[in-house]
Amino acid sequence: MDIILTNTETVPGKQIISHMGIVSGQTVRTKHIGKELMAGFKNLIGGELKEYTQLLDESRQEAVQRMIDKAREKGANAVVNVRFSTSTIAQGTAELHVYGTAVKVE
Amino acid sequence: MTFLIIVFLIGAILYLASRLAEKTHIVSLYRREHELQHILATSSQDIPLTDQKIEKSELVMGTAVYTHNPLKKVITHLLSFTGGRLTAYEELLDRARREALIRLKEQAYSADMIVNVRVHTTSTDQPSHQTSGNVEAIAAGTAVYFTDTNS
Repeated sequence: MDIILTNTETVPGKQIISHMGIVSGQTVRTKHIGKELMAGFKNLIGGELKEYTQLLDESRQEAVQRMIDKAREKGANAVVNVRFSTSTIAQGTAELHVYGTAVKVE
Repeated sequence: MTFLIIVFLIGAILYLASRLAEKTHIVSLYRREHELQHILATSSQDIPLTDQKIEKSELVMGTAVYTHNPLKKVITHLLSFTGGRLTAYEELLDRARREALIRLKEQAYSADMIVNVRVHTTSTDQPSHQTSGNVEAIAAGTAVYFTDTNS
C-alpha cells in the first residue's frame, strides 16, 4: 500500500474520507568530527558542502519514512499538509522534524 | 619570511578559486532556471480549473547546503559588527534557495505543475566557532500530474 504524500491541504483529485490525526517523524543528525575536518579541508574554497547535503537528504528520507510508518499503523493511505522544521539542539547537532495529517482518501 | 609568502600565495589562490566557483555556480543557476522554466511552480494551493483529470500527485523535495570560504567567514563576521546589510549572506542564502528550488523542479521533471512550493532555510553554524556562513535550504512542493488526453 503506497502512501501518498502532499504538502497541500488535500490530495489533488481525491476526496478525504477520514482523518487519523497528526503523524510526525524526526531524526537528529550530527557532524562527524572526522568528516567535518575532511569537509573543512576539502572546502577551503567554500561553495556546496556535498557531504552535508547528502547527510541532510538521508536524514530527511529517514524522517519521512518514520512518518509514513506511523501513518500506515493508523490505517491511513495518505499524509497531507506535510511540513518541515529544522532546529539546532546542541553544538553541531540538528533535528529535522517532519509532520503532517494522516488521512484516508479515495 | 618565505613561509609567510607561501602561505599568503596559497591563501590568495584558494580565495580566487572560491570566487571562480561562486561565479560559475551563479551562471549555472541562471542556465538551469531557464531550462526548467516550462514547469509551473506556484506557492499557492490552487490548481487552475481544467477539464483534465489529475492522475497523481506526490511530494517532491530539493535540498542544498552552502557555505562561505574561510576568509569570507572571518570578514563577514567582522562586518557584522558594523551593522546594515550583509550582502555576503544575502548571496549565500540566495544561492542555496535557488539551488534547492532547481533540484525540486528536477525531481518533478515530467510533472505538469508544482503547487504549494515552500522553502525553509536554516543556519547550521556552530555557536562556538564565532564564524558563521553555513546555510541549509529545503524546498518542498506537491507535483501534480494531469491525465494525458491529447498525446
